[in-house]
Amino acid sequence: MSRRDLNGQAAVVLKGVTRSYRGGVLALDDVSLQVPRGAFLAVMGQSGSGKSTLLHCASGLDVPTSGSVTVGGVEISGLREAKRAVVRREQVGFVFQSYNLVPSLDVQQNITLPLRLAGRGPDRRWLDGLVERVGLGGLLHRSPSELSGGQRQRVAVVRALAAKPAVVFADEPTGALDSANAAQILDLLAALTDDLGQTVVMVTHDAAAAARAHDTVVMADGRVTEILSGASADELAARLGRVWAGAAR
Amino acid sequence: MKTLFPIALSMSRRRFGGLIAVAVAVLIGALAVTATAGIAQTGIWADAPVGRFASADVLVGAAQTVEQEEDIDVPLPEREAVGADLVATLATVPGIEHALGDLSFPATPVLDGTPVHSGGGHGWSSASLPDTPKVTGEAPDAAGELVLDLATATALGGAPGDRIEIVVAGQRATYQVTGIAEDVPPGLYFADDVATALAGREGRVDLIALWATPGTDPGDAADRVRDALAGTGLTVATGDDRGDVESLAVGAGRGLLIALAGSLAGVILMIVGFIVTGALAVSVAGQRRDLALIRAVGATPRQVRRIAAIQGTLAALLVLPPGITAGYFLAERAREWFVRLGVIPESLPLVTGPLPAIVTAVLFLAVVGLGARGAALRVSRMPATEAVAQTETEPRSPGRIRTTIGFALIGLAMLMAAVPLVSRSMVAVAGTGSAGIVAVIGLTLAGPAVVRAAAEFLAARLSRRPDPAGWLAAQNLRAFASRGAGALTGLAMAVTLAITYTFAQTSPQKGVEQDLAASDLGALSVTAPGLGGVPAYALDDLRAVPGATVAIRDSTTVVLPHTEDGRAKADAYETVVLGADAESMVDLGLTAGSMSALTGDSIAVSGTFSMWQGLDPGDTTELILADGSRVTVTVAAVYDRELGYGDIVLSPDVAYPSASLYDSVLVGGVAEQTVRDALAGVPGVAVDAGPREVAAEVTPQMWLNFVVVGGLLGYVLLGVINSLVAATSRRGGEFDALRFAGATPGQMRAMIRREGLWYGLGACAAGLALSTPPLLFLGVGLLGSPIAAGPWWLPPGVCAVVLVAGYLATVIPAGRVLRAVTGR
Ligand SMILES: Nc1ncnc2c1ncn2[C@@H]1O[C@H](COP(=O)(O)OP(=O)(O)O)[C@@H](O)[C@H]1O
Ligand SMILES: [Mg+2]
Repeated sequence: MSRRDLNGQAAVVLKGVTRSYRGGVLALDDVSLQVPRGAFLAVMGQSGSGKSTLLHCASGLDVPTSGSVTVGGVEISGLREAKRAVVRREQVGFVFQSYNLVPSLDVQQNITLPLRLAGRGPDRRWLDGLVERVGLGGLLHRSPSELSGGQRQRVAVVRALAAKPAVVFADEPTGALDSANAAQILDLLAALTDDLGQTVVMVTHDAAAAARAHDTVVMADGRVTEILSGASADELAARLGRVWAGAAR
Repeated sequence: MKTLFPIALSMSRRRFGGLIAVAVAVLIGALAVTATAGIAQTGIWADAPVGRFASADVLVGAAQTVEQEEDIDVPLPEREAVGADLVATLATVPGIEHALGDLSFPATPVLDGTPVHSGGGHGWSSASLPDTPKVTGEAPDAAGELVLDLATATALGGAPGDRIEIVVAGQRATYQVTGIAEDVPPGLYFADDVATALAGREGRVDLIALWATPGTDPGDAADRVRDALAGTGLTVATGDDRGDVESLAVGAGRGLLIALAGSLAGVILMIVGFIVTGALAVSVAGQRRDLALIRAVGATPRQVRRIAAIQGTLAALLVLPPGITAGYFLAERAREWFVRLGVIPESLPLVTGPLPAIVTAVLFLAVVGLGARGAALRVSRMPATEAVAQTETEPRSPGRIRTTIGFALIGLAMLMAAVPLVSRSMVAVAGTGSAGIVAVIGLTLAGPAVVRAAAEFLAARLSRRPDPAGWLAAQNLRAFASRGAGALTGLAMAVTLAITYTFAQTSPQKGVEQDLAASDLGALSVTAPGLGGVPAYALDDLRAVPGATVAIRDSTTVVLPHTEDGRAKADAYETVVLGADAESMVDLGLTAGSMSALTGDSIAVSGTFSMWQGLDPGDTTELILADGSRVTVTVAAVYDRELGYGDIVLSPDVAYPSASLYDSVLVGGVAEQTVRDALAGVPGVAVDAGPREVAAEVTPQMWLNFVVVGGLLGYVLLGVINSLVAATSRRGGEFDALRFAGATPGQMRAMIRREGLWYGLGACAAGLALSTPPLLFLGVGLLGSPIAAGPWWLPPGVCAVVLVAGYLATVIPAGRVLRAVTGR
């Protein structure tokens, strides 16, 4: 199986990760998870189940209350924000529902920003290839405010990949898009893993979106309840329906 | 309106920061505007309390003004006399029981060679108010006799029959105290005909006081008096208006208050408008998303603008009452301060009518309502879909017309500031202050374009640097040029106004000093403040010294009547009194005519005045003196040192009003000790070297300007800091995006520090660029050197303040946002 490099180091490893917020909310409850290189992993679960918290902790945006997190072979759970930021910009790319492009920079500047911040020169061929692939060629000198939502999200995807990170985290990347644009972004993420061997972790609550992933982690009450492999949208929807019904009971 | 109200209210509850900035701007603005309006109102309507004539029902005096068509009449600062025969005439008016013709003139008792302050000299009839007072001893009856009031008698240790020395009518003389009167106003009371002679008022009195017969309405009596006086142009006053007739200082003080308020109103209104609309813009920008969402769910653009207006109005309504109240207190403080500076008499009370409050409230509600609607214009007009888009941006390029007008205004300002180059006069200097205001308005218009161009330049230059912080800061500045320009021009405004306003005061002052110093040919200056001036007999004493040249140097006011488009107008001039005998002691810098011709009814005029009025040596013109008398004078000379000597120098031979006591007397050709010896018989006299001491002092207007400009600077800084803090606090999304793109906290902090520094540096650069030409023109035009005179520490001082303010107002809130974004 070329798409899963099980022999190599895992892209992300979580061991016994717990995250509690002030006020006693246990957003993550002893979560352990391995994301192999080249995987396209979906994280599903109802609202408030801890998906975003998992993503934040796994990416180094947030630190767990206890447990350890390793990204691209670097243990980050004990690092301070400044150190984590350096690890993030080498190892992690982000795509969010709300795009999070820098409004004062044009498309090209947004795309190369991670490299600039890391003090690295851009890999022209890599970037040109990405821009070509997502069809942003003619839009490089536009400001983000002059783009459609789908275009903005494609810029965000290219930016996330610019530094060739170990893993790309996407939190509801299709949440603000219409179905056509959403499908395009999902195609893009799937293609990244299949063609380029990238690792993608995607939070979603849409069964159809999760079905595009290789594996799906199902969460409830801050815990991973199930890991499904290669499930179809219908299977996932049925499965989730049961999980959610169970949670509601 | 009703339906939008709850929405506006709940929105403002959640977006408090921006509205606090609006509230603070309105609060302090209302304070300043109310205080200014209160002072103006006092200048227009204040009545002095009646003093000596409190018991009189009606006071009759001269108009004491030179009439102007379609303008405020020019007040005359010296007493314009009234015919004494009117006293008897008015006594016969039905309903009038008692009539009194009053005279007041300088008269100072001397005790052991020291002048003693007293109430001045009066005729004996002035003591009957209306009843003849109780006298121990006898009433004065002949020359050489007087009656003292009890307080003065006690101070002098005088009793009936004693002889005391007084200085009166320019002479020192011995008088016999014939009696001591109880319950009369302080003063020296002479027999009426003696008083008339001493006051030099043959057949005339200063004013007439009338008492109505018991049971007669004073108003009716006054009406009958008016009928009797029809056609004379005299003022008949009852009630509170009587104070004006009794005290002339009040009229002059009021005129000054109006002038002060008028000169300040412009800059105050401009700055208040700038700060309030700026705060509104920031507040609306902070609610951009909320307003856009309201648009998206079906609100019309008008409704969106109205919501913005309701919020601003609510904030204003909340702070207007305390602001206005504080404004009245400030006006009263200012009044007390003017009294201490000697600008207005103690007795002039603050007029506390509701008008300033109404004016302020209406003004601010209008500015806030319109300003908020204007600020919300763009958001309200956006297509609803675009409005909810996540990315916040500004229009790509600031309006061309706006930018062009801005630069045109800056150009105009520089032209205005250049007037001192062609005319070395006080009028020219007025252009410098206004130029500062116009330049700053221009900068606010051109600001976004300028900031954008500068940021583009910076971004291009910093793009190649390995450290991305500077490049990011430049990109932010470029993309949000309007946001940045708002803060930057506010700070630049502080720099420009502080410098131009201050130096426009200090440079001419330095010019005055230079003129006075240059005109001083080494004369000694004699003054006698304790006597109210140097008496005429001291002049005789000095003239008796062999080899001494002696000249009067006094000051008065003259009014130049003229017509403008067929309408009668009049201008008052502060005038130095100096004559031919001063030729060897004062060098006016004559360019035409000669000093020796400055005798009789003649004047010398400044070059500027000569040019404007078309008056050359030999020409004649009509002048109105301070007591309203008209003279035709011949121009004897034209001089250059107009900063030091004003536009008109009046010959002492013109019978100007206060001519028995002189401000100062110049003496040349003899040693200081000789002068002192010669003046041994003049009590309270002082001898100083040169006329320099006479002028070079900080005038009340200068003080007022310093204080007001200082206050306004604080206000501008507060407003800009408020806006910067509010704007920076909204940048969480931007910081998030940077963080997700891989920026470390250190890089973001470095970026913010750059931005904060550039705000300050840009503001200093712009502020200095706008104030340098005016300073240069002032220096070259007035002082003949490219360096204007003033506090050297001021430019670096305000720049330092502006740098620190801009930096901290950016870095501190950004640090807070950054900590929130990065979790801790
Ligand atoms: N900053 C926070 N402070 C307190 N509680 C939080 C915070 N962020 C998330 N939570 C809580 O943690 C739980 C998990 O949230 P989240 O991971 O955002 O869920 P999901 O993304 O699955 O909807 C929720 O109960 C949420 O209310
Ligand atoms: Mg979430």
